Amino acid sequence: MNFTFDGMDLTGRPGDTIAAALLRAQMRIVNRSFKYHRPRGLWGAWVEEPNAILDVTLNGVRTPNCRATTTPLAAGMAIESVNTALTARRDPLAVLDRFARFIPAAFYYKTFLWPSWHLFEPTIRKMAGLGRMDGTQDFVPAAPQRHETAELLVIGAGPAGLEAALAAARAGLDVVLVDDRDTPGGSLIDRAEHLEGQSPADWAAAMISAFRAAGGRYLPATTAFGAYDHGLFLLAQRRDHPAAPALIRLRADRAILATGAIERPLTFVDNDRPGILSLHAGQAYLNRHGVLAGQRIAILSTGDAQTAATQFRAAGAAVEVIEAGEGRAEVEAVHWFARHLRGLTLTDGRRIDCDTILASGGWTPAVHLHCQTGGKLDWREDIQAFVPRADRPQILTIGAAAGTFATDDARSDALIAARGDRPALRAQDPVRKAWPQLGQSRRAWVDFQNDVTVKDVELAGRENMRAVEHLKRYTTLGMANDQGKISNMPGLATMAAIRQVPIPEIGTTTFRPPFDPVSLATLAGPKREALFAPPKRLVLEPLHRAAGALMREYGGWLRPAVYTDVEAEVSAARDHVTLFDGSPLGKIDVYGPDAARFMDFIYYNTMGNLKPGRARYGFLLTEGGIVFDDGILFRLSEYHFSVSCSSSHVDQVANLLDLWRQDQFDPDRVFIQDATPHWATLTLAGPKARALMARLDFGIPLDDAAMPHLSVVQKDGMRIARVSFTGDCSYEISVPARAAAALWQRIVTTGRDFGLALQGVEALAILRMEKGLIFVGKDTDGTTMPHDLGFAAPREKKQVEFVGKRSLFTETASRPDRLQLVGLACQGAPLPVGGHATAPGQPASQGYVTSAAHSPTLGKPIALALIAGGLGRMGEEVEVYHLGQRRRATICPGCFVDPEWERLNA
Amino acid sequence: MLDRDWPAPADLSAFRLDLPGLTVMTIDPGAMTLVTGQLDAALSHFGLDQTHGWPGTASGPSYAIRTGIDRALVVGHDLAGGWHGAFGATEASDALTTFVLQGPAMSAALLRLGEISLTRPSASATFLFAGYRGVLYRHEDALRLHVSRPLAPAFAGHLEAVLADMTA
Repeated sequence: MNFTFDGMDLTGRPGDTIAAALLRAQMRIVNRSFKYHRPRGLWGAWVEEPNAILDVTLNGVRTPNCRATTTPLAAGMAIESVNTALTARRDPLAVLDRFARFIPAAFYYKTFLWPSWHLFEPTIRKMAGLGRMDGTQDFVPAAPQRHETAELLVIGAGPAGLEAALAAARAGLDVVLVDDRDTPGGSLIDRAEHLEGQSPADWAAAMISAFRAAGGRYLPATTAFGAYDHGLFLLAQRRDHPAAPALIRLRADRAILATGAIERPLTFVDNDRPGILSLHAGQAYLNRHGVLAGQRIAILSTGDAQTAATQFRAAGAAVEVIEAGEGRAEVEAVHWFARHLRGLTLTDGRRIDCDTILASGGWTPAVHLHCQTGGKLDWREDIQAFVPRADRPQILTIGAAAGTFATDDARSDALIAARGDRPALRAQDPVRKAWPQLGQSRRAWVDFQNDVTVKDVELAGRENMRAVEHLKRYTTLGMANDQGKISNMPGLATMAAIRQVPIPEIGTTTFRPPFDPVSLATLAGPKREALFAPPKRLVLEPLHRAAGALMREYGGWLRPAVYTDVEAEVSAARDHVTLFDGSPLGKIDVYGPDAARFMDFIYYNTMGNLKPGRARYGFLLTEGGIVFDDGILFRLSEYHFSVSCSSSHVDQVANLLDLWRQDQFDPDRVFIQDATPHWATLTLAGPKARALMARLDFGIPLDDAAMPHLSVVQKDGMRIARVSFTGDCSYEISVPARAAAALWQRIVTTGRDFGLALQGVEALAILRMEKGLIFVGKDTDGTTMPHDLGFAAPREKKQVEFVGKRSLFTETASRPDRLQLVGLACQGAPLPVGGHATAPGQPASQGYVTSAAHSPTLGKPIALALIAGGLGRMGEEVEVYHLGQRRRATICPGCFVDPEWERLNA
Repeated sequence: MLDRDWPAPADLSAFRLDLPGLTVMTIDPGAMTLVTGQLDAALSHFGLDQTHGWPGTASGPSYAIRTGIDRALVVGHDLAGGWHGAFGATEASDALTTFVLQGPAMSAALLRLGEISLTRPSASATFLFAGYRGVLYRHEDALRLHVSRPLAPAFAGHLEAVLADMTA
């Protein structure tokens, strides 16, 4: 298969990963390091790879940051190295490496500070970083998502996982087996380890066949990247590049983690040179892809490497095996010349000529998923590694992931785990320690991807960043997208040596999902574009659109913002009558013999004494006494109330009601049901509203005695309420949604004789502002209590307990300088919303503007604001500061129009 | 996002998806009432003898679906909203849009919608589908799914997005 790398034409084979193809083409240098722009080659063969992060373009689609070891090669791929000014082989920015001593870990806390870090930051960021986004690509296809359940989830189709999955399936359990490879077998394939006389591929395939025959479900090319509460696992199922993986949410009664182990590097000077790979990766490339990592191989290993050496020799390489670790000679120098590895020299004087070093510093069990669920780790001195503690009854770890490396032992443990029992601990032959040495004069790398060296860890130690969490953040060790898979343990061991404590005393940082980076498209699924946060739709939307309304989102609903002109609509509401779609207003039914007592508890205001057919304005508070919502409460009958809360807040208010119902009241005497979606509410407002209502003739008396302000009538399936959010005489007519269109048309037709105009939300905002009526969340903030809005009476007089009561009497709640809602009068243009009020010429904020607009009714600007102690500062002048500008304003009452409220009964 | 231009939603009364092994469409199941309180009293009022949870198997034009500890959706009956001595009734005929899923692939379709166990029963038929709260149950040989009417256009779009690439 033909492809290009940094512009060079290369050829790979079907089944290659990009990494295997590059190795096959003898591309030793595949990238540049993050900070120093040192040449980097492959280290690993799968998810542990830290260096080969490349941008891939296929069929015109550019995908940044693809890991070469896990991305299958496809014909026609154009692959580019990242973080280089030119190519991986030639990068002029490599000169930075000569100044390494000036840019160690955390250099940005100490240098490039004068005159300002921001002067240097853009350039520094450009020189460091990974892939480049393609700005012309604005559409990434959605990734599918689905849900699954299982009695048992087995993660890992190596020998341990296969045994466990098959045994459990044969025992009748509903089993799902996942593995991140396309084919099963795991480490058996990498090592070419035969089992029961069969090749690893044949043995694994037979196991899968038997597993499926027993009813098991096998998901290859699927990474379990997250383990969550209550048996939830997130899986990413790979699809053909560049499609984002599909997301599977799998809920399992229990899980077996057979996730294997990750080989550790050896930490020696210049251990980041291209041509130095992990021993296991060398075997994997040979046994999976038929690619030799090199022709002259030096193996440095703390364990037995003879089997691997035999395999490499059989493939034609010259191999020398060197024992590494405690008590053995160490690497004194790596010889690197003309972009090639030439050999190494040991401290015992031996010089070994080679073109490839395969290094193994031991194995680190992959404990990530265990820890993500909160599982703890135990230190195993014999294998010099952390293993899962037996503290998760529903999650068992087996095989190499549990520190059991012998295949036969892992298979035996798998059968025990399949039964739901925990295998006994198996002590292993002690491994030779091979942790980083301190005090070296030259650099040895701990974290390849973030260019963190032993010297950096020593620096962190000297600067007292000795706790593991500080070590991580200070040096960025483990913070790259390889998430410390090969760097965490050497880093911990180095800090342990610095602090002269055992490694387990250093501990580990917190393991969090994802185990492997996941595309945002996978997580988003269909929730994008129009489906990301779709607004609710009005039943009358077609009529609004037909009338020319500009539709915009308000509080989760798509509503008419304006039909013609905002100020004209305001004027129509003040001079004639307007029609407004108030359907989103909450209508939450509260029933039962204790409903009245419940309403008294829920509301700040006294509500239980409302008579049927009457309504009252009130506040809902949080337990902290903060205004949570406001609105009208209707009493429809002795045991039936309707909570008309804010349009944007219905779900939250319903939840609040349910919460307190369960907490404080007999659930057999109070009941709650949200009725909002059933109803459409059409609002008539204005001095001619009553006359229009009379013409419409709904068969109800409209005089003030029969239907005063804040009253409600139910008739012929309708609810007609007299309430007002504009200060003028106003009626809300609620009908079942299917009847709304006919009623709307009838009102529009009849209303022509009265100068009826359609009114949008923008006009409503001005009308209510003119009257000083609040929008909760706009004219209130997270500190606002009812007495800050001028509603102090219930606080002082209401006797019964209600939500938030005691919080209204704290020291903070009683301070005289609390932010209080007032009006602001000014000249010229409206004040800027969010502008801060200060004493003239003073810098300290005393509050801020919450609403502001030009009032067509008054012909001048008005504003509402939360001002410290505002209610006691009427007439006082303040300055309003915003974006460098200062305006003068005068504190005044918040009701600008008809302060005597005479228009209500006009 | 607040300034986004939203296109007019399609008329859901004619909504239909024809996919391999699956048909999805909207229906009008008749009057609907949400009841809360003493459910036995409510059922007795409507002449019904049980509520169905999940998966349940409702049939005919009249039945009750359990939606909470003391809540149910009654289909095929309406009742004036209010307190009826032992239970409260809330009119819901226009509160919910009803989708029907039918065909051999309807179970597979469910797995794309939400975490719904096909084998584990639940007393309540209320589920969360990617943030959309709905009531789901079997009705004869189909699945019925009720979603809040104002969000039904978005939910229809969600169905199209998640089911579009279903194969038989």
